[in-house]
Amino acid sequence: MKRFFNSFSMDFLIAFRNKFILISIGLAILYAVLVNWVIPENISLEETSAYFYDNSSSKIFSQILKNSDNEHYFLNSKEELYDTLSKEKNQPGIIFEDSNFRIIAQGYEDEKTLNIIASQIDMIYLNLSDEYIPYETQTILIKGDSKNSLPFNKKMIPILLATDIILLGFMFSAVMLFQEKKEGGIYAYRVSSAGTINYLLSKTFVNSIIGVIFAFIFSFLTLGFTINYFQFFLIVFLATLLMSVLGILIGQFYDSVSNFVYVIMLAAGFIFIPLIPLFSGSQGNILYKLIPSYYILFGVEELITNGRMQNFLEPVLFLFIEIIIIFLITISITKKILIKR
Amino acid sequence: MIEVKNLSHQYPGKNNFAVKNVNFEIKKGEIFGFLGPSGAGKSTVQNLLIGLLKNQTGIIRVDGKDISDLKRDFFERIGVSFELPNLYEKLTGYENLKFFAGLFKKKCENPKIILERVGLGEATNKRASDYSKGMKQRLIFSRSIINDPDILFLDEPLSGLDPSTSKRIKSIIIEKKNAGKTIFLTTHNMFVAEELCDKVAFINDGKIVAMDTPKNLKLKYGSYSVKLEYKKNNKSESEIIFLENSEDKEKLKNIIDNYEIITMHTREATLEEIFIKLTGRGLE
Repeated sequence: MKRFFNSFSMDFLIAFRNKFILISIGLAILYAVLVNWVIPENISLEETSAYFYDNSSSKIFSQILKNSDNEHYFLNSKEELYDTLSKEKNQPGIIFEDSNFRIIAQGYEDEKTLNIIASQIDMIYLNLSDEYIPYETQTILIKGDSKNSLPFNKKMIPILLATDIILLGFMFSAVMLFQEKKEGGIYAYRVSSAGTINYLLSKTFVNSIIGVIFAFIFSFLTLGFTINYFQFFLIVFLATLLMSVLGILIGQFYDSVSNFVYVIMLAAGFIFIPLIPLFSGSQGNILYKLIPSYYILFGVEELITNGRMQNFLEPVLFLFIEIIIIFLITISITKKILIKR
Repeated sequence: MIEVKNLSHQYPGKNNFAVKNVNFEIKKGEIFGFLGPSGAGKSTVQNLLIGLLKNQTGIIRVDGKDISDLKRDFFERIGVSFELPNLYEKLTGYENLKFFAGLFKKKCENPKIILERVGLGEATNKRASDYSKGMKQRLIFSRSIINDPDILFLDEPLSGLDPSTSKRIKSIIIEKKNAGKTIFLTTHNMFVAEELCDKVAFINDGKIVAMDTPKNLKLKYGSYSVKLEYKKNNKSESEIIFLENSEDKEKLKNIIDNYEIITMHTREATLEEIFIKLTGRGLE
């Protein structure tokens, strides 16, 4: 342990003098400013239409709307309406009763949209009767998932975290390696008795700690005390650790950042892949889960929404197994390429 | 004690052997000089001895144990000084030594005391990137002795140093030898080898061409020479004449007969001259 802490202190000091920590803190503050004050809470990108079910005794509302110029989607039962809403997440539902109506929102709609719908339906009721008709807005949660209720700016937190922490971990560890190759520090290290495992653990832990520092500043400034920080830090630490080990593994085949830039671009593309299931509203299959950014994206989103992760063991185990496998490969390659060459 | 028998090494993809059938022994407390020009195979032998290159053929034994059986603890017992600078440039001289010392299990020397001894006391807190070439060389030497090793591998430890700093480093090397440390000194500086080494080996094209004490090498291969300075066409010229060589004797007679002699000194042959005599090439 003495040797690990010694190497860790040295690598941390070098990372500090390389401004890695300063860059991370600066980015975390910049992202916090973006989330808190620049990115809007609500963003409406498409025109919202609605699904209807007329439960009134006279079915008058369906008659009125069918005679209007606009296209309306009427369904035959409440069940059919709910079923349709669960498939079509972008539209609200409206149930007409004799004396009132209910707007079934799914959680993503902004207040303004719901108010417009309500005022239009108010007009229909007013035309039929001079009495004020109370209406009820009900928010239903599709598949028990409440993530759509997250404001848009908060939705950006896992994306910014996943892409930056992971990419920085990958880049910084490779850059540390290039610096050692250039300065020759690796030649001195390999004639000490400290060994390959100590070398790898030290560098990857330094980058993971930098990732946690970044994540802490960013999350604290945007989410405060609303999430389970133990779960959050562990997921961030493990995902960054995995990417740092990968950075060292791949970095051994390159000598400088200029040669490595194509790998960084590929890695960035790779990291963005789990955004596909995230935006399509699915959980994605096991292949998505193999990508280190997956658990940051989905785990952090769940943390932000619910405060904690229900199934915390799965991401920890998944990432842990991936780290062990990649770490063993990296030890073998490092001994052959970096230490012996 | 270090024992090397029939050591050969061929780099992948190369047709020639970098080191061919090398044999030598270094006793405890001995300074062994490994002399040769660049590319002769000195560094390959050193890398094989310190386990950075895998031994292909031949035997390397340290205190009777085959090097392939030596585990990581072997590195606790050795110190290596490289010719090319390999420091953590973002760290100060003190930090470079302190962190390197922290990689060993054994108790190491105090970095500040060592830096004082090599004349870097005032540059302790200066970053290595701001050191001159000579300062970097001294820092690398300091690092090699931080763990008080039993065996020291020194590759050109005095390269780029001024005479007074060289003297400091030489005195530390001699002190280590007197403390019973075994020293493998790689150099192309014959004066350094002559001054420090108990035994020297000349290596050329991967083969050892001669090995003995500097004194015995001179007795065996050296001959007295005459250094002449004379005037030729109103220009001052100089020449070294080996007296055992009949062609040179004729040359000496010709100069004395035809030109004005300015100075004439008899001198003992240097190791470099012996190396040239044995290999036909210089050391630079």
